[in-house]
Amino acid sequence: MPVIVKLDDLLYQRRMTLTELAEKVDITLANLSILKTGKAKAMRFSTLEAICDVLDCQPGDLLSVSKSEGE
Amino acid sequence: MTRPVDPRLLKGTRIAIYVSLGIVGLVGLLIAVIGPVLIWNWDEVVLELAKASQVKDATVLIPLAVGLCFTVIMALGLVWVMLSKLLALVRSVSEGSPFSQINAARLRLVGWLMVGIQVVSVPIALLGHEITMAVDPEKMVDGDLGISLNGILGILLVFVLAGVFEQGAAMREELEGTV
Repeated sequence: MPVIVKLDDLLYQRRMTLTELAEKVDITLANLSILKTGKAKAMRFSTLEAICDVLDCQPGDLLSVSKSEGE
Repeated sequence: MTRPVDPRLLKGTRIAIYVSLGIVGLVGLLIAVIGPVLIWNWDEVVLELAKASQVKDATVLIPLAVGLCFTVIMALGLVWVMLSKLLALVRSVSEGSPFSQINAARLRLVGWLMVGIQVVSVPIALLGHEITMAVDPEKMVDGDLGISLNGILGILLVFVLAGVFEQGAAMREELEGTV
C-alpha cells in the first residue's frame, strides 16, 4: 500500500493504547485496528481531525506515502 | 441516513413468492402425473376426443401433447428457479445486506432465466395452437408467439438492476474499508 499509517509509532510516542484512543476519538476499536494495520481503503476527514486532535499531531505525522512501493 | 425497506412490504413479497412457488410446484406435479397417465391410456383419450370434438385421428395429438407437457414442465422449472433466486434476494434485503456480489449474480441469473422462459414460451404457444387447431379447426386462435414486449422490457430492467447491484456492492465494500 503506498499510503502508510503511522498510528503505531504515534501511540507509542504518546504512551497511549489503541483502546484509549478509540474511547477518546469515539471510533470503534475494530475500525481503529483496520486503520492501524493498514487495511483501510479510505479515511474520513472527520476521523483524521479527531485522531490528530487527540494525539496532538498533524495529518503528515500520521500518514506518509511510500514512494518505493507505489512506483 | 438510509431508510430501511418497509418490513410489511418484504413480508408481503415473501408470501407472494411462496404462493407462486406453491402454484408452480402444484401445476408441475399435476402435469408430471396427469401427462403420463393420459399418454398411457391414450386409446381411451382418443375415443373421448373423437366423441367430444371434430378430431378425426387423435393419434396425431400424441407427439404434440408430449411436447407440450415437456415444454411446460421445462418452463415451470425455470420459473421455480427464478422464484427461488428472488426469494433469496428478498431475504437478503430483510437481513439488511442487499448490495452484495451474490445478489448481483442472482439478478443476472434471474435475467437469463427470464430469457429462457421467453424462449420456451414460443414452442408452448406453437404446440398449443397446433393442438387447438387439430381439436377444433374452426376455433379462432390468435397468432401470438408467447413473446411479450413487457417480458423483454422486464428482462432488460433486471439486467440493468443486476449492474446497479454490482455497483452498489463495490461501493459498499469501499465504504466498509473507510474509517
